[in-house]
Amino acid sequence: MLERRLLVVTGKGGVGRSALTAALALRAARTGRRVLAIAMAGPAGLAAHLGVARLAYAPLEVRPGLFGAHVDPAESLDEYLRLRLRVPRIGPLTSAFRLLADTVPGVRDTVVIGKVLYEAIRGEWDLVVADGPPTGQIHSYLVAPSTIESLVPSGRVKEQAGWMRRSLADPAIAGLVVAGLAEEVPVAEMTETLALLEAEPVADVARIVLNRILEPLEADMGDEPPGARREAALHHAAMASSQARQRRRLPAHDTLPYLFGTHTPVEVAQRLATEVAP
Amino acid sequence: MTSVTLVTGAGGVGKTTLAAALAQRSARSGTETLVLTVDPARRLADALGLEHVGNDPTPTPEEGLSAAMLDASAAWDEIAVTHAPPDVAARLLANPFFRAVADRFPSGQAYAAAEQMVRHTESGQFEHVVVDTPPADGGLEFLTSARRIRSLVGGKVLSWLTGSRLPGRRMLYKLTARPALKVADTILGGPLLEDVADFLLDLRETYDGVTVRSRTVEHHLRRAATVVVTTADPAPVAEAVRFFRELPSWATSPDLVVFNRTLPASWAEAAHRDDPLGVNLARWGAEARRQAGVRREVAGRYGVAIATVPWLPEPPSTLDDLAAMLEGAEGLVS
Repeated sequence: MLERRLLVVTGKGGVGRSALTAALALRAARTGRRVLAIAMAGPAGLAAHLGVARLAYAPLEVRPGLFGAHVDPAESLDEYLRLRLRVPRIGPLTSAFRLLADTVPGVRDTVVIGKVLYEAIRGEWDLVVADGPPTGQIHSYLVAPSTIESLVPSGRVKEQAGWMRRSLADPAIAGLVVAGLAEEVPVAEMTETLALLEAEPVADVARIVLNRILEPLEADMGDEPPGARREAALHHAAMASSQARQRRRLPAHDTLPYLFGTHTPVEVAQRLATEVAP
Repeated sequence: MTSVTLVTGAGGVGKTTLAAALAQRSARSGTETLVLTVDPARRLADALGLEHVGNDPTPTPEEGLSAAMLDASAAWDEIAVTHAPPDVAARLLANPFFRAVADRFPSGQAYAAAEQMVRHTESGQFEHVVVDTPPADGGLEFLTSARRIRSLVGGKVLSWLTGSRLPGRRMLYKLTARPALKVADTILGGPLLEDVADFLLDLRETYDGVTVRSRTVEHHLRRAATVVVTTADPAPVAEAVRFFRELPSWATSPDLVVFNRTLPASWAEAAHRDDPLGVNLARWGAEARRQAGVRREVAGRYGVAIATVPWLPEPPSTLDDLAAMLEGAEGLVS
């Protein structure tokens, strides 16, 4: 999937979305590609996994060939107004558009996803990996361009929205990575998102990835006496079988292992980069 | 007087389940209790007998325990109907932009939950209300939602549109904002912004009502007890820490931090041999040690009481499971 121009990683909060975003970006950068990892919402998680204190709107090189950035909605709106809509910088006019962005469904979402798409096609990067919104919101981001297209009768905004909608839906350009855990609520949310995307194919699902998967325990505990050894083995076995049951509710997917012990966010990203299938 | 417990924390840590368990425990101690949940897992909702979202409490199979599942959209309709004149309220309810603000404004769901909390606290029907706060911003959003709603309804955008809160502001609007909106609409290709402006002017009619009400909401938030739920994983702990750091000065500090998914401390100290079961214990023991370290750090840094709830391979799916979950808990004050 790393041959696409843009991967948008989505997943419920706490499933390791930023870690997976950083891992995919690291993996691609290791093969000599010029990669941008970009946070669509709060940048703290992605910054930590890239090992930098903060991310800004302007891309910052975090290691050779790998850049990090953060989509600030206000700055993206500004860029969008000036470069795409060619709106002159006049106070009241800018205020009018800010009002629009705060109120009309989908404007902010369109501006954010638009920024990510522009980065993906402008020729600066071989690959853009976006730390996307949570699964609960991804659909509203992905349908935002077509919402705008239908709200606006004609003009530059409509043309731009149409271009975004087509680019997002084109598997040669963009793909969605749906991340989750093999637990009841995350799996239910993933199933819901996948069903929405099937009913309205606004983007192609490039990969489904389940994080923190336990290997089955290959050990005989038949005559193991009560105690910590037995308890830990029972815990592991119960967790693994619960995960296996949840996995059966999902279509084909990749897995990433549970990482035992203490790791820094950078260590987690580096370890997952070696595990993730390209 | 009705007591209120706010259960906050990052998404995915078992906050909803824990809120339900705490409410059940309160009901079993003979206190008439309501749990106000946000989006519970299907099986937990089934166990509580919740079939649909709805802001009206329904009795659960547990004696003395009622439950409601937040319907933010309906709560906002109620706000419009309560705080705006009837003709304006009708216009608002029919306006697609109102729906968008109610459903999508970041504080919209949080404020709806806080508003429902107050409604049930004031009804006198319950002695204890347990609120499962919406996951946005680890609970901070919930505490600050009243303030944010006031600034939406009376904020900069509206001041820009209308000049001030003086009567006759629609006239002012025609002179100040409308010309800019017209130019913007030419770029957009339709009369979109003018429609939005009309909607915001209607929303402003709710300002006085919402302002008074949101201060009541804040008053109730101030005297509520707060429980922060987390796991020992870095992301939820970071959110819990942020909750302490960015807590508004008027809010009371959390009473308790509950670490869900806790492994037995005995595993951390157990000696292990180099066979498959020993290797397995060693790695889970390392997890248990890491968890204990995180708990010590949070307790030390914020001087807060810590409770632990054991790590269950499966989330509780019956009321008995729910009660059993807390039987293994340590540090929960009754």
